[in-house]
Amino acid sequence: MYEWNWQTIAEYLPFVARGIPMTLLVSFGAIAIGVILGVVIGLLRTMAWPAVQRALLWFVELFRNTPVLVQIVYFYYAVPLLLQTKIGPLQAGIVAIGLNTAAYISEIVRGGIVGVGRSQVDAARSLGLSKLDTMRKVILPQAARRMVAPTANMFVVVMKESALVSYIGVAEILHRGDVVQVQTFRPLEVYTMVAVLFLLLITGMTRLMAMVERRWTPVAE
Amino acid sequence: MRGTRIAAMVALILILAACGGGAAAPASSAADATSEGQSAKGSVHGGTLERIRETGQLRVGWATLAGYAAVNPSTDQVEGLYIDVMLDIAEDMGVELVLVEDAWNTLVLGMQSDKFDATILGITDARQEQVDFGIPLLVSDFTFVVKKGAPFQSVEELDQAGNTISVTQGSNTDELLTKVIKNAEILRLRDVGTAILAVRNGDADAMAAVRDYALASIENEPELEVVDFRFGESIQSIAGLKGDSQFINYMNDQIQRVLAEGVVQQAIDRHGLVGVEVPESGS
Repeated sequence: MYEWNWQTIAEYLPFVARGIPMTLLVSFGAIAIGVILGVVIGLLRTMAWPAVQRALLWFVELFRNTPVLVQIVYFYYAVPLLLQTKIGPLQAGIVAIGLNTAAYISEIVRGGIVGVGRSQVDAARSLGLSKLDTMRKVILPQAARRMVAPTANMFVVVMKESALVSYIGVAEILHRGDVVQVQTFRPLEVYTMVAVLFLLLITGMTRLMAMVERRWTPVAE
Repeated sequence: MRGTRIAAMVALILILAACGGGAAAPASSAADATSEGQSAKGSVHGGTLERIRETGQLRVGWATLAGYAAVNPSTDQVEGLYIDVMLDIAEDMGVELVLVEDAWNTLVLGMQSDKFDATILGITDARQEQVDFGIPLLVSDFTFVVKKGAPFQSVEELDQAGNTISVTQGSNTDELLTKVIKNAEILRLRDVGTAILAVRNGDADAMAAVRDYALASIENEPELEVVDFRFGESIQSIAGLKGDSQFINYMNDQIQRVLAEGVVQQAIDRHGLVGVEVPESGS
């Protein structure tokens, strides 16, 4: 019968909790990259030349269809060798998760744009608006409101994925939990502690995103 | 509009903050837990010694192993026998020790990716194909942890169909176990904690580990014990890039020095390690 030792949690909680800033840094760094790049890619996939759209589709497929952990390992070990440069684990982790997030967000953006009725585009063009002005003044304001909920979900996913950077030695919450686990050989108690910390962080994030959603999403279409 | 500008500024700050990270932390008596490798000049293959002298830094890769290389939660410093030995070598070379964390199954890759110059590893056939090792630095048994009262008196009795043996994936224990065990199932898990848990829960009949680590892992486990028999010998040494004989020869001199001066034995005693020894003279 397993004997739980909750003293492990009491003793090591402060140490593991010191990984929170790093978890937030990785998460928000990746989100920033993901949103900026994802919006650009999403827009280009609806507006750019066909060759560019195809190339961007390859990018999206590559990052959506391979495991994030593999991408992280690749960015940390393989990319520096290929580019003959140095990349630290924190940068590699943020870039890998950021690019992965960009792939998903670009699809959210593209879906939001495509979801705006064709009649809106026709009406705008018939009023003399250019393609760019139509996108900027008519399509995007409507599409943006549709993108809020799925984008908020992506933020939650990214925060959980940030734990994967522990694999390359970034001292976030899970990594610090592993440090304790190696010393104490109490994985169940340690991973319970890690799970609770992530639950608190992500619950806070979802509350924040719910406020943003209420602000940006129309009550009735 | 103002909100958009603020959001864009925040995003830019975060990206710049992320790009500004990654500076290496030097080691004094122990090392910062968040240390990362710093850029070093010079060629990757061969010339490691030259680069160490040019940069004034000996970059050493490490993976978590309590007593050998692990973060002390009380001090946030990396401590252990491996750290003590490499720190002594760095001091003798007159260079700074920089610790770069990695995982057991990617330590070799980390060296080949120029994340660090050297590491201490158990010598295995697979690793010897990828890196070069120095002369033996430490010796320990490979053995098993079982529940008290388990009927196994030999490797042959354990290696029967229907039995399960847990092990840390990617470790030198894993590699030797895979060669030795023919009939029992091997359950490869992330780390010793989960491998021990498998034995506690009955998911595994035994856990394979180096004897000293096995003894440490059951200190607070009254239901578990380490068996007397062994399934192999673990020899550990300093590893360097394949073909860099100049560096390995230099490290061999250092290994002889730290053994002769008692640095290794003192580190074993300091960290309370049981079941690991310095090699016999001439081995």
